[in-house]
Amino acid sequence: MKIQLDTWSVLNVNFSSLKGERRKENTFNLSNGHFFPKELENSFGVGFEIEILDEQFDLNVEAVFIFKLDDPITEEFKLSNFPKINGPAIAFPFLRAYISNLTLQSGYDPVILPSINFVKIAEEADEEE
Amino acid sequence: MLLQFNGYHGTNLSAAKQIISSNYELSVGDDEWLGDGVYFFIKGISSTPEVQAEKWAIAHSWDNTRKARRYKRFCVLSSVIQVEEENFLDLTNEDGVEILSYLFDKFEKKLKKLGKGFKPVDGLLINLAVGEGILPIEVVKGNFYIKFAKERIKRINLRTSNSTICTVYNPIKNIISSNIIKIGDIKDETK
Repeated sequence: MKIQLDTWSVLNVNFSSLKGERRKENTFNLSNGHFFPKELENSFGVGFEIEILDEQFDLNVEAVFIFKLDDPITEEFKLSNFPKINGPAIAFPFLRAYISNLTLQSGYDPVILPSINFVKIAEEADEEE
Repeated sequence: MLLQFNGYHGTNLSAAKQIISSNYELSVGDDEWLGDGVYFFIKGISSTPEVQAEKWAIAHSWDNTRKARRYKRFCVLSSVIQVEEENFLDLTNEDGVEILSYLFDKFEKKLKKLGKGFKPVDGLLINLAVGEGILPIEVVKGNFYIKFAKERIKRINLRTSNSTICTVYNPIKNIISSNIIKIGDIKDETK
């Protein structure tokens, strides 16, 4: 089965400068999920919501990545590792580069998000169930 | 006439796996909105029942006793529900409400014995009717006010219905197919 990233787009960006105040430290939160559009039987989407609380600004980004398969998606595939681990792992570097460019072009130090271990995140979620 | 429509069920990932591999389990209890059955959000008052199913799964993940999440990932399933019109009770119209009123009259003495006070008895009436074989009900729909995370956190309590829900009493018979449509992380909305 061939799987490839078809398209991706940013759905929402919310940037606001702290205007003079500074935070003591930077933090970020990431949540992601995947969905299976009814109208596209060979595609699935991976969505990200990222909240960055930088020393100088708040940034929220929502983005979606659409992957295409050469076969119709089965229920077994939906519960497999690809949508929850491989898909996010392929997509995340694009989003990291976008956030780095956006913050640099906005006149701040570029935010370089750390690498995310989606295998570990999936294992932790499975353990909690 | 055979009726067919989509229902959306919000749950956790491990329950979704169970549903896909075998089938739905019934929610049981007389306090359930429409009796013992499998519950779905359907189109009606809201045009986005799939979003309501997601919100329900997120709200339901919160364990108020432990003050912690029961699960961290939600899953929304889309199921095709099929039922003969004569086995379908529609509580969003006058005919359906009259049937419920008839059931109340029929079970009034029993309800008094059970001493339910001011608690809603819709689910209990349907359980009694199904249990005693009075009506050949297989699927019921009704409009309800459902509290999602926002309503629970902000303690919003309205009388006006915000959801149309549907209950299936025999999933093997009336659920034709089920597909996962969304899986996602549950963010901590209490922060």
